[in-house]
Parts: sequence; C-alpha cells; structure tokens
Amino acid sequence: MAAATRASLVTCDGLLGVDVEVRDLTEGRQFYELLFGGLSGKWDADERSVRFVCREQTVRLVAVPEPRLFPDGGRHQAYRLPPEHLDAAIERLTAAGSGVDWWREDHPDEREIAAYTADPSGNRIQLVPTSENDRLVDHVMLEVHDLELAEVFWTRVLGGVIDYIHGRRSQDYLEAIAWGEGNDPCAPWIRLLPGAGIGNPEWAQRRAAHPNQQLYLRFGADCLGLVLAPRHRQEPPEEQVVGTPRVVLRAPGRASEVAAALDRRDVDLRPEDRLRIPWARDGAAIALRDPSGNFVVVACAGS
Amino acid sequence: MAEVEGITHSGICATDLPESEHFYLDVLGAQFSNRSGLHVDKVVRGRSLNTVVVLADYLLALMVPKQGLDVATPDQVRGENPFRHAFWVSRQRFDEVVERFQEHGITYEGPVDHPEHGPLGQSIYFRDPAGNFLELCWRRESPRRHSPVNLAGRLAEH
Repeated sequence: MAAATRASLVTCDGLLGVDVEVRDLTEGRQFYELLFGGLSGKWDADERSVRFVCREQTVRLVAVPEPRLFPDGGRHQAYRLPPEHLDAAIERLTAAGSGVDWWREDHPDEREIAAYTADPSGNRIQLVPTSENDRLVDHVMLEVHDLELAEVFWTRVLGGVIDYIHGRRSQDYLEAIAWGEGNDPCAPWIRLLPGAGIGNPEWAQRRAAHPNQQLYLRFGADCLGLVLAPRHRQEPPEEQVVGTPRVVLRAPGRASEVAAALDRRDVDLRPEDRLRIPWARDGAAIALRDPSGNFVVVACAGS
Repeated sequence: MAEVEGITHSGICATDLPESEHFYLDVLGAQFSNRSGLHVDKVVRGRSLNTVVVLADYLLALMVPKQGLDVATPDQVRGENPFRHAFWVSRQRFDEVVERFQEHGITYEGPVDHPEHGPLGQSIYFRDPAGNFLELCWRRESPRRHSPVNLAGRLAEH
C-alpha cells in the first residue's frame, strides 16, 4: 500500500496502562489495594511512584503536590473487577469513606448503570463488573476541548479506530431531555445544559438538556473515550510532551520507526492539517500530547 | 428590492450526521469543507452542530436538528411539495451514476423523461438519509461551466 494512503502515522494496538496523579503515595496505595483486592497482580514502588502490574497492564500512581483534576469533568479510569468481587470492593471502599455513585453512560456497552467512585486525591474511577479477566483497565475517558482536532490526533496520528460517536444525531438530543427532567441517571459529564442559543424560536432560547459530544476509539481490543470538557481548561505549555496524568499505548514497531513516521507526516491529516505533533523519545518510548494537552506515551516494541 | 447578489449555501437537516456525511461525501462525491459544533466554546453555548460539504459548485450545510422532525416514510422518494435540491451530470455519465446508486442500494424513482423540447432530458428522484428530497438530472443544452467553490483554506464557519 502506498504510504500516502496509510490510515495513520502510527498504529497503536493496545492500552498498556495509565499514570494517575495522587497527593500521597501511601494513601493512594491503600485505596487501590482495597479496590484491587482479590486481583492477582504485583505491587512495586520507587521514590516517586507505586505501580500495580496486572496481566499486561500497569496502573502507576505518581506523587504530585496538586494533582491535575477537574471534578466537573469527564476524565476517568474504568477498572475491570470480577462480578463476585464488586460488592465486596464497594463495601470496602464505603467503609473507608469513599462515596459511590451509580450512573450510566452513552457507549452501547455502558447503557446500564455502573458504580463510580473516586480515590482520595479525587481521581474518578468506574468499576466494570465482568468475568472477562483478560485486562485490568477496561477503558480510559479523556477530556478534550476540540473533538475534531482530537479525532485527527487519536485516529490518524496514533491509529485509533472509531468505535462509537455520540451527540451527532437528533435522537441523541431527544434522549437528553429525559436527563434534563431528572429521569435518566446519566453520568454528569455526558450531558450539558448549554446557555441559550442564538435563534429566535422559543425552543432555541431556553436552556434545554443537550448530549455532550463524545467519541470512542479502539486500540486493538482496548477502548479510549474522548468527551468535551465543560469549559476550556488551562493547558500545559505547548512544547511540554512529558507529563502526567497520561495513558500508555502499545505500538508494534520500533521507536526509531515511530519517530520517523511522526516526522514524515505522510498521512492526510485534513481538515486539521494545522495540527502540531510535538514528541520526545526516551529509549523505546515516545512521549506526545494531544491537542488538548493530554499526555500519552507510545511504548514501542524496541528502541 | 433586496437585490441579493448571490446564493451562498443551503442548510438542510441531517438527523444522523455521520450517516449524512457518508452519503454526501462517499456516495455523491461531495468535498468536505468543515465541521462546526464540536468545540467546547460552541457546545456550551448551544450553537448548531453541522458539517459543510461542497457538491459540485453548491455548498450544503448538513445541520443536526435538536428537535424531532416528521420524516416521510422510506418508500417515498419524491416530495409531496416541490422542495428539493437538483443536481446535474452530463448525459454520458447519467447512466453510470444511476448504476452507482443501484450498487449503493439507494432507492430512487425514474429515470423520468422530461418533455422533448425542454431543458432537461431525464431525472431520477431520491432522498438522503435524513429524508431530504433530491434530484439528479441531465440537461439537453450544453453543460454550463461550474463556478467552483474555493476550498483553499478553511471556509469561515457558519
């Protein structure tokens, strides 16, 4: 196949884990030990972080004085638990003082209500009961400011495959009315009460419940969701590509090949050809950031 | 008298935007121009959600209605009122395009023969996924030159 017709610059094929920021490593580890209790995995630690490695995936807690968190936003990590462990996990978390909310989301796999909680630092967590125990991280949802720019970055730069789109159908707007009337237990970040529109009709001037724009991607069998933030957040400096929180994706090629592909930019990135793709290489890993400032690491098969 | 100086675009309904985009871009061969309404600054203000495409020399804004709409039943391919957009191809390409519609499983009515001395030769009538009525015809008179829409750079968002 000619290079110009390739679908993406890099073809990431799996989610290897997440790095989440916590204020206190000891406190964070205690929480996640309660959450992951019963799962077969291994903990290890260094000065700045602790890691839980379970099957092929790693959840790394990184200590920072002020975690970059937005309680009104949709960023969350969803972890898989065996159904028989869910009640016990919720009991342990509740006893430890963590609140649990029951919401649903819009992806076809998330239409039933599920349990959501937060770690002591405020990282939002979704608990996904499933007997498929092939991985720990079911999916990650990131906040973005421009879904079109984000789509180009995550699909045509990193190789995500669109799995589901929400918010671009009339039916999505009609469905949102039920949430506005208090009859649909949607997670708060997937609905909006926007300000009045600019049209004259009465319906355009009232504050009606809307769906928030969402895009779900697959990297191999793993899922990454993108949802619009409820307001524009301060982004990290433009040139900063290494940081946390971040997601770690797997790419089958060598880091030198991935770096060369990012430099060549021989994939059609329209309509967002103004997209900047800053990156930095560290051995077999390539660090990037999406246009909204979400950090990502592409872990390559070799350097 | 208003003395308008041109027509810029038509806004038409797209009840399922990805489906309408596929229809206009991949089936009818329109060019993508831009999307609007996928940025936080627009969404929080409740602004319209649309995709702008250029079909030959005409600009269509595919707009997602936020209200429920009455849509004609799927078997109805010609409107009860005359409102529709009509596009033309050359006589030589007309049959080829009709064949392409058949390959894509697009339901259409026709070809309908027009009066022998009129400007139009034949038409087919069909709908887009949102139920907008469309027509494709060939003209008896010599094809007129296009005035292509300038797509250099991003068009201003509507």
